[in-house]
Amino acid sequence: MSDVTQLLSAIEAGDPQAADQLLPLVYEELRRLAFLKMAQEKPGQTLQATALVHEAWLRLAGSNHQQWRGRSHYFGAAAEAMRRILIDKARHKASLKGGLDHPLEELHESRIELAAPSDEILAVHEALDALAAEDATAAEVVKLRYFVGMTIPEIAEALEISPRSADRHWVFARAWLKGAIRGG
Amino acid sequence: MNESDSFKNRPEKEIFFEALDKNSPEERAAFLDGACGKKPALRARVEALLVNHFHQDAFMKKPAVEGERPTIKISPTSEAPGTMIGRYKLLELIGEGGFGSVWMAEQQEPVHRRVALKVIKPGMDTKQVLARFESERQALAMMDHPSIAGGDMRPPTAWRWISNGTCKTNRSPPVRRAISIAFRKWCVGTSWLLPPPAP
Repeated sequence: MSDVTQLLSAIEAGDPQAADQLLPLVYEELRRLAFLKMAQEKPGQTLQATALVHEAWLRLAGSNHQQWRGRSHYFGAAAEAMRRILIDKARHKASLKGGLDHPLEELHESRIELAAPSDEILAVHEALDALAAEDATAAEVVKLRYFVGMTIPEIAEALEISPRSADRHWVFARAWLKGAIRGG
Repeated sequence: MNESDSFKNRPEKEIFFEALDKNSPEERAAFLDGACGKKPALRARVEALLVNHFHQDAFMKKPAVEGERPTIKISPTSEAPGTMIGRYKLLELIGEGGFGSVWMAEQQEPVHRRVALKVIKPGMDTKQVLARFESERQALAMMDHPSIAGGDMRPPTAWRWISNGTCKTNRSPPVRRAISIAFRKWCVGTSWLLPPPAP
């Protein structure tokens, strides 16, 4: 059993410190897996963030992953890790506007392509903590949908909520974030 | 995750959703009159949410990462006793490691015999893992003893079944691992040479 699965068990058992230790471990696991995957890809290939997060989960939880009650904690931590990776990338991209492109190829997470404009990504990132303070689940849904690229049914499964509920959280979060960012 | 206790702005969100379900702007306005009553600030927040929702633009339309891809389903691995993998029928799960699992299995053709089958986990069939399996297989193929597991298969790799042998995987380099497995098998296989334990 890996350190991550042990931590997930501890969180399920109500250990408050375990939750703090989970994020750096999941972050490292995603980086390690990204590195492994990039080593076998042709140069220029990009990584699928969603596939990466799912694959890390399958590896961590092994064949028992269906029974794992810690699943929503894992996906929460993985989504937060992806958010940080993407924000680093968006910041870097924004700082390069008009300048020379700097080779970042050694950073394997930089091979994850950004599909949305980097100023939008940074704005959503900055408003997200305020949303989390108001509505924690809606913010979780945004991380999985926006920063990991998961579909609504996938999010429902990951967070152990109904698809309808996941969809409503997303609709609310989008309207809320639009207001927070554009002052609407 | 508990869905009901995660947000403070419950009325705002609930009124927003109920308003979304109304069929016309008039119906919606009438509903808001009743639901928000004498709370203009609440009404303003809900109306702002509705405006933002109905005003379609590119904002957050696309995820920050590309979302179009084949979905990886979160579901139990398909292997179960009785599953056929090629010409092998899985009988019993013996052990699991980081990259795969080991099953007691029955080869169906060309001969019926019991084998230990190593099955690589979904997503783990990378070049590195396949190379490791291959070098492990080659190392074992060089040794010939009835009690040394040997195999001639490509993944899923099948190994001659040795009853009462333990078959654990670890992360040591393949050759060392193969030797350690072989040595353990050999010890088990030749244990009848030793004097019986003292009563």
